[in-house]
Amino acid sequence: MYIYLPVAHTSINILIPIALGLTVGLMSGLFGVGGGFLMTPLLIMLGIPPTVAAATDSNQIVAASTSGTFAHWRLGNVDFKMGLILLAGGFGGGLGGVQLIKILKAMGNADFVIKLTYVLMLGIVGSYMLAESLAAIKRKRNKAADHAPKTDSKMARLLASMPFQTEFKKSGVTHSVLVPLFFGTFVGILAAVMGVGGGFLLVPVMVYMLRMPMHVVVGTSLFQILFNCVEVTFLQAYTNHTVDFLLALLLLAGSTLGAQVGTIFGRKLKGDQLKILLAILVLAVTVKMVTDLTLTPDLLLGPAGGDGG
Amino acid sequence: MRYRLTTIITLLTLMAAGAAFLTPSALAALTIEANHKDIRMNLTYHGSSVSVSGMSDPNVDLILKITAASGNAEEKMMRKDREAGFLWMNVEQLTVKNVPALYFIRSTKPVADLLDPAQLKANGIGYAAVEDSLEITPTPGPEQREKLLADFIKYKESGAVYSQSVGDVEIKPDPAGDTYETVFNWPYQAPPGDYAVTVYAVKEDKIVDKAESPVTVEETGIVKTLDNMAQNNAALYGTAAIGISLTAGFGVGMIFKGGGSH
Repeated sequence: MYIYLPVAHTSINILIPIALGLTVGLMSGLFGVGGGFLMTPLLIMLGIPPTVAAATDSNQIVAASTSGTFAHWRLGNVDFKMGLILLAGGFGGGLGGVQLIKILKAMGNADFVIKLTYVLMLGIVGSYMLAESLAAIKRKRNKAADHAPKTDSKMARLLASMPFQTEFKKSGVTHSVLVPLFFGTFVGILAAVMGVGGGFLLVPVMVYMLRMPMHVVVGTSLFQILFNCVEVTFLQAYTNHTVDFLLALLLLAGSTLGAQVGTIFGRKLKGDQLKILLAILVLAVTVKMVTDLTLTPDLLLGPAGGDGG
Repeated sequence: MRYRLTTIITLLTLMAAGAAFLTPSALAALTIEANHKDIRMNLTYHGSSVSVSGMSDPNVDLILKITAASGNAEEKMMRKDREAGFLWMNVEQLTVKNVPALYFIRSTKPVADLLDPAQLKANGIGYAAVEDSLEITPTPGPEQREKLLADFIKYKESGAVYSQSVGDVEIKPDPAGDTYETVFNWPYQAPPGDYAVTVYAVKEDKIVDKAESPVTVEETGIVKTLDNMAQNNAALYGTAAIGISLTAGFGVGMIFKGGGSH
């Protein structure tokens, strides 16, 4: 059965967006990522105009992340204090990132910088997570392990020496308020430059820099993504008129369900296993992006407003 | 007197016959009829099938064209090129003006074999005529323009809104004049608007007759309501979209709570 989408001006089989939503929602519940970096290109492949794909994806992420946050909150996996500080930094960083894009566009090399940043960030984050998680599993097998990765002690000392130290009880860590604020801003800038929600950047930051337990990371990341996507959805609907609500409804029919199932599956997996799966996913997207960038495209012309996330 | 009258009648008959041979009205009347003149885009719309038929003279070739009746649109496109020697990037935004929203051509022979380039251009027949009318800014060099236009047509073909084919017109002989028929798969990608289906009768490298039929495509029901709201009441639309998403997220969360995920 086909449905005509009034804003996308496209007709699609009703089952396809539901199945897509289910898959991406599953990953959202499992890893705490919004999934925009997967969903937007898939929607474009279905014939949805790029600007509508990106905006509508934000709208459905609102539902999926609400569902996921709710599920993780019931499991005690959401650190609201940490989430709000990261969110404050993220909003500021987002505003800065938008200005940075304006400067890059004026210089004429925005697309080059954005795509290169994207590939490098994905590659570095994915490789590091994979290597670290494999090493952690190996350490545990040798019974010489403790669950916290022991790397940069200098960094740990530096973080501990900063003012405004506060305890984040849910995460079981103590940091200066400035630390999550700084990292939130950093991710906000990168997310704005790359045109993505930033979940796949924020998760490693919380795991490796803020030393939060993986399950709390997932819930807190979803909480932060929820607010970002509410803001983006409204702005896209108000300024660009590109949110297709019917498409969002079909996607969220799958993604809200997927987020719940992902959360249940996530409980059955260990933190390191989750990190390995996320790392593999991130690396697969990196490989796909590198392939797209290096292979000669069929057409040297495409619709504007497209590369989203 | 009687001789004179016979001569005048004979002369008049001959003149009429001669005139009939020389002008388009000598041909069997060219007619056109589209079976769907009013296409409604409702919630289950997935394009339509539009059969175009009519009568034509047996001694002509036919060209059928569908294109937007009202003003052509402007589109923003990105041009890709190599950066740093090996990476394909969007390097430039282009504005393409005078873009027909839909462009279909069906003909009994290749259009270039039927009419000379000047006539094709004057009547907007064939991809070359479309390419000629497109304005690209910033203005590319001649070689690059040619490449960009070819890619633009390919892009439109891949979106199912442009096509050009030969021989898909079925002609049936009839004592009162041939009948012709062709079926267009009207793509759902074609936006709402007024379109014109035109048939040209071509004989000896000239268009000798032409007939036109309108087709209107319009949104109805919830499709129209949501599209209007998204465009004209964006704040309410955005707020409603967010509100319903939040409710759906919580709703599913509550259902799973009831189902006992713990």
